[in-house]
Amino acid sequence: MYIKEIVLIITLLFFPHYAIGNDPSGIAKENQLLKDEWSLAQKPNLYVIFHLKEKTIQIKAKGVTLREFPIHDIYLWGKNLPGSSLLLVKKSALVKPSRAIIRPGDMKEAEDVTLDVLELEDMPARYTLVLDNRIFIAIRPSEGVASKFGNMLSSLKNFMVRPAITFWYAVRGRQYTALDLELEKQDAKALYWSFPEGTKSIVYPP
Amino acid sequence: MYKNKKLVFACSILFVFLVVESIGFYIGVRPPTENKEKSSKKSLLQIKSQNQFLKKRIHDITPYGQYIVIDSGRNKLFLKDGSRVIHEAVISCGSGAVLRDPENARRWVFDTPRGFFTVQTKYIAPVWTKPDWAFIEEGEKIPGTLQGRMEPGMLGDYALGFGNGYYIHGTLYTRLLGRNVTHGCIRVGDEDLRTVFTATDIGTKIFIF
Repeated sequence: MYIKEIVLIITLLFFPHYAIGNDPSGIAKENQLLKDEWSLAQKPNLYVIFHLKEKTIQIKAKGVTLREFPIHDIYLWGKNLPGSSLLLVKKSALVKPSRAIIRPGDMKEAEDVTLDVLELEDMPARYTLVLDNRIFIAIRPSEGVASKFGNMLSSLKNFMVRPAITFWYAVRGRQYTALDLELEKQDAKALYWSFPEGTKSIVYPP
Repeated sequence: MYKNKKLVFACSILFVFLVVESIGFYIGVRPPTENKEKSSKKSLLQIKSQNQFLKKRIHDITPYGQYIVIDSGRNKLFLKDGSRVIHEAVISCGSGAVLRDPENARRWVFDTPRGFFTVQTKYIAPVWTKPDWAFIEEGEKIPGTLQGRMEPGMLGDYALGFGNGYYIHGTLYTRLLGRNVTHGCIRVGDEDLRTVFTATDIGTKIFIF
């Protein structure tokens, strides 16, 4: 009758670690990340959460999820994701979107000016987010033959370059962690748009 | 002999490269380093239950009542109640353009601010007090009096201020709704603006991303 309960008690008595989860440092790290997320939720700024286990990226403010993007594919190099919130230091792309410069008087002269504005479509779909603690997140578009070919070239380059970079970092006593995330093209652009430099983020490990 | 020297040099370079790649590869893909800190079973259980509590606490954060969410990339406004969208509108957000004052070092970037805000002021038939950049942009002289800055009718029928001179307001340029063309304010069509204006109060939360 109480077989399930008896089995549970025996498990807890003899294998307490297995019963509560087998990675104590992982639990402690998750605890710290959750505390950091809670403290970010108290501030008015935007922040971004990378849930690698659930394969989602969330843009949040005050704890409210404003937009969520599904991740199609994840590749983690390095496995030393820190247990604290990370600041976006730099966004690097092959062609960065540039802001239009308004020349005084231009707006009055021409009645039907061509719109030279920065919009979502101008954002890159393939770029790298450089977070502090030397965490590099490469965002790649998932759909289309050209994108897939680009991803293949990028993987090939990473296969050659990453071990050398990791070695160089290790010689200097540092750690190198890189993440490759595949998103829908429009989601990749939207993430670039809504994740300005100086924004905090949290990466929950897979 | 010379040929051999070249070959030996090339082999040495290849050998060093392969060693570096192998070590780098090992470091890159090895399992994560275990934290050697010994935590007692009891404290581990405590941490785990605290994690569950924090997860629930974070998951349960939802603003009370109605609030506004603005997607500045897709130029969309959502009036929400809890997790339910009760009204959706096409809007115009900041153009991201840059204007420099030719006479001094002043510079303006026309972005819509992002983050969390609240409705601070509500106006019916608002009158726009043109700031300096509006005159500089048009190549006009900045007037010395407040009267010279007043421009009625430009902001539509209603305006909701959310701080630092930024407003959610109406527009004369309805054909540009859906494009990023503003100086940072949020332009909304007449009908949608009326709905948003009547649904919000001072203190209503605004989330912009």
